[in-house]
Amino acid sequence: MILQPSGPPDTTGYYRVAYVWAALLYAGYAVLLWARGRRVWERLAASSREGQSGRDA
Amino acid sequence: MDASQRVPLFGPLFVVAVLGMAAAYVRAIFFTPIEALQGAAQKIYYIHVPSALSAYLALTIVALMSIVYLWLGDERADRLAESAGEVGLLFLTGVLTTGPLWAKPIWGTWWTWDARLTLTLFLWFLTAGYLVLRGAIEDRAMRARYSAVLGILAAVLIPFIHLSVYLFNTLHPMPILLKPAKPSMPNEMVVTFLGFFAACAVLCIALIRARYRYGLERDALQAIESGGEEGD
Repeated sequence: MILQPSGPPDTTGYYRVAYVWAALLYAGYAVLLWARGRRVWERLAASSREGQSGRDA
Repeated sequence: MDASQRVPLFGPLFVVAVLGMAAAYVRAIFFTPIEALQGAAQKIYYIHVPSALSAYLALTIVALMSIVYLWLGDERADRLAESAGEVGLLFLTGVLTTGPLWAKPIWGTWWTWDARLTLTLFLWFLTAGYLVLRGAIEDRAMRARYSAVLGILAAVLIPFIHLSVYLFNTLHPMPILLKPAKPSMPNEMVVTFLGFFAACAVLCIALIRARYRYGLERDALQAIESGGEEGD
């Protein structure tokens, strides 16, 4: 059913909150995953460097 | 694994997903009419239902990969199931939070113990339990085996959730699109919904893929730190 001249109820606030919340939720997870990946990768790179220097010595 | 070998967590698929979501948002906000009875809150449908379908997709992957693990014992299947479980929980959280934002202005209450809502909440707890179980067991094979069983059992709920509106006397609306009859919605709304659904599904796959890559690196690190062989 499409908008009639009498107009629908004003429920804009709920819809805005839902859209902003969904964007924050999914983007927030992606950022968190990126941060976790970065932390693991830094530790992995440090372990590789330690292993390399151990072999060089 | 050295620095030059690193595969970025987020590849081109994630970029496509982000662009798709952005386009879906623009279409829903600016180019989709406002429904006459519910007002703008009806537009929550476009994000709520695709989130639910993406959660079902992720949890179906959990179940399928769990079966593959129990059958073949392949660690990649277990890692993929873990990744899909985490992303499934994310989308279920999206469903369970956008739903009440629609329910409050339309039903007059944030929550009701309706069959579909209760079963979806139950699925959220099962999925959260699946991830907690994974974190609680040290032994890798035992963790994979136990969580595979739970992952399969959780997915059994999905058809019940979808059919709950037919099986029980519920307040939740009947399917508008996912039903044998013609969609009870104008075409421009159907297009918006399908766009959102496609974007959400691609986002779901892209996040599972990124989470899988993270799992690979984490397992490689654990293998190095425990002095064993590196993972695949």
